[in-house]
Amino acid sequence: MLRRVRRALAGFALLAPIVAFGCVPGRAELVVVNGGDAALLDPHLGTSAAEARVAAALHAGLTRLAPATLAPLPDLAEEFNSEEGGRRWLFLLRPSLTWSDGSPLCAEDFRASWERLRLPATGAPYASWLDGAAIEIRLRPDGREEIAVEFPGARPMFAEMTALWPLAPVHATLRAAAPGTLPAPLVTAGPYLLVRRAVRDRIRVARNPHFWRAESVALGSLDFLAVESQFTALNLFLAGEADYVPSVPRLAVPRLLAEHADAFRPSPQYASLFLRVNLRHPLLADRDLRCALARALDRTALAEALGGARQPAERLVPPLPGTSRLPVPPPTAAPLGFDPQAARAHLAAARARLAASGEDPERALAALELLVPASELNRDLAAALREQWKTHLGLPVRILALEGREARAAERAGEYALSRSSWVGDYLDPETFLAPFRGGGPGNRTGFADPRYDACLDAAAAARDAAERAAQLERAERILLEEVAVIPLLTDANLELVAPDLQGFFPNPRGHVDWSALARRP
Amino acid sequence: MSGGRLLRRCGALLLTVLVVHALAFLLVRGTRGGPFDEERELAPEVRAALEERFGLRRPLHEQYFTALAGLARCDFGPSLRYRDTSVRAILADSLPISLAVGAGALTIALLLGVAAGLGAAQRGGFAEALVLGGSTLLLALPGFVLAGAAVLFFSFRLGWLPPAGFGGVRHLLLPWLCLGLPLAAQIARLAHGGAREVLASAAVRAARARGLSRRAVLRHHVLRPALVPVAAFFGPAAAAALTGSLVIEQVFALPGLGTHFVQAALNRDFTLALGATVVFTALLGLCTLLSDLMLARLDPRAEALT
Repeated sequence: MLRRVRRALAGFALLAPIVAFGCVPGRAELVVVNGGDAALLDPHLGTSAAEARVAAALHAGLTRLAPATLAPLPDLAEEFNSEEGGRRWLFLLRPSLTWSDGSPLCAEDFRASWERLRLPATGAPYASWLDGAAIEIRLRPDGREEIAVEFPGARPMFAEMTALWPLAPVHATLRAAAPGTLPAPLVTAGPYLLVRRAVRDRIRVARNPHFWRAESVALGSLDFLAVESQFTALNLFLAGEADYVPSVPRLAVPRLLAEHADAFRPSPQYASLFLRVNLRHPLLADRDLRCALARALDRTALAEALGGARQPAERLVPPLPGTSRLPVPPPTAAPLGFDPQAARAHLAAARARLAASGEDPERALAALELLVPASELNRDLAAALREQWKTHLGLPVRILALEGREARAAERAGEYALSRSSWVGDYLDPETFLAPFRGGGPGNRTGFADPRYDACLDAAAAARDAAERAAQLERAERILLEEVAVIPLLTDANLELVAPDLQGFFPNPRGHVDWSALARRP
Repeated sequence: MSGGRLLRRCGALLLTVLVVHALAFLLVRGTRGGPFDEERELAPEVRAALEERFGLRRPLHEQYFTALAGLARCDFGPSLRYRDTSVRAILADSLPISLAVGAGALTIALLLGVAAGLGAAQRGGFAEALVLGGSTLLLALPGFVLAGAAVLFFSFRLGWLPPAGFGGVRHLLLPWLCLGLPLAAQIARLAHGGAREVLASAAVRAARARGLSRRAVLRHHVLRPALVPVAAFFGPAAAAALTGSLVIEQVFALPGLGTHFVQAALNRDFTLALGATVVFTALLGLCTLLSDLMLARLDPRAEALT
């Protein structure tokens, strides 16, 4: 009997190391904690930050973003220029470009890839990026290829967009693959090629010898680790097991600032935390009540309550100090600034209207509810918001915390009053924040529909002058804020941890890392 | 256990899997939100194309029968989150990791738990108080506290082991310890209780009176009956260890089944959630069956009850 027990135990003890050793990968030259797993490696399908980081290593575009300024630089295109404020674009392709399998990469690959992006059957979330675009391939007398893109209106940010993964070329094997299948090996054109993918563990990439500037890529291999827990990610970094962590727990921020200032440099992100206001809600149809809720919020105190790394925001579109290359109209005062006295006056007007309609104002207002997707940050944010409404307005707003997808489903169905939302800019342009709020648009979810707003967006889309376009977008944002369909709260922050011996890393509003530009300090 | 009884148990396990599969299908499909409900709203035609491709627009009963047919072939279809990867491939990758973690933890639990339980029962006094007190403490500690303390001590204080990740036996030692210790505590208490009862029996007193050594008494008269409650606990313990603990997998960033199970539900990855549920159910059933077989071997009287 004892022998049998021993044998069984020995079997168990042997099994574990055998299985474990069978899967051992050595350490890559750079270990990146990637947050959630990059579930989709097809660049036309990915949307998450984790997928974007992997795509930036595997794929290359016509342009690339300068790590410090995010200005578009030539990449697969040797040069590019625009006319009519960005309505027409011309990209001159480099000669002798190749895919990671050594096969030639030509302008037709771009055209076919962009056509695939536009097909609904592809399931691409960024299909609209090429709405209305006419793509033409031209052959120059010297035999080199040009890609000409013409939009109905100005797209001054298109050069920046071509640096991002949705507009990267995909190989013919992927274009021809049945939807939902990934050919093996995955042929790409970026600085790295896919070596190994273990779901929820890691993605290993290695230097692509066929990349057009492969000799400038210093790091030979990268590991993208799927680590959901921010605490685990922090542990890995502090133990020297990881070199880059995209986000750290809020609780750790003060200590990291004090003790790891060389590795931790928070910077503003081109992302907004805001409240969606359901204009179809019987109470919130009253603009005075919406104004009262918006003007009772002290964003500075809110930012402090969340640890201080995020900046207070009274506009939906985050500011871009020092990085914007786009014409920016002169700033105008935000209509929803903190003003408790004005907030109380708005609330009194709303109460009077409720009483006049025969309702008990106190009872009606007690039904106000803030929907938040359940998370630690949202819990603290919701508590701070409730406290401010209680203090400045005496309103007892209830908090309803739902699991992420359930909260989104409730928001989509219009079953909420106020909802905590966030948006990360796809590119450095106000349009990325404003377009979702078009009347009846799928990303709107507030019931906001204003012909003036849509007209401004239409005018911006049709503008052939970048300054005129920027002015129209500014006007649109002002209408959105005046109608209080959204209540801006904070500009989000990048809370990245980067190994101090890495050079080539620069904090920037998009949290963009050019993996091909990174190197270890000697 | 006779062949007929074993067949009946296998049939019951199969039926259980079918019932759990049906209930899980209804639950995951009844939950609000879908796999393509991201913050970035898809264009209606893109959403429609995706739903069409994954069969989500067909009537629910048709979807269920498709899932049932897949179950018969052990093919759960493509994951709705990892759209280019089949559920079978994901489970095939994560199951060995869960088995590696669980097997190590179970080994630690059995070795430590049985030794501590029997030793405490035999020696009594301070050793017994230490084992009982220690096991109570371990059972009371939540997994994340134990894991956090282990990381703090072994990774940051001593610098011996990595705090997380999956890359070899060094990465598995802390998860084994953190998953195995609470199970060891439970086993120690069961072994201690069983041994105390046997040690107080007339048979053991008579063996001692015959001049048998303590070791011989333990080996021939105490061990087997003392292990009966441990064997009964083996099933659930093995299932808990092999299917992985979500907390342990999260803290140590292990790509095992437990994480898939929870994340699939949160992502509304219907196919992966169903696949993980079926694997969990099958593992639980097999471990329970194995436990009953062991129990029947140790104590034939128990066979009638299983």
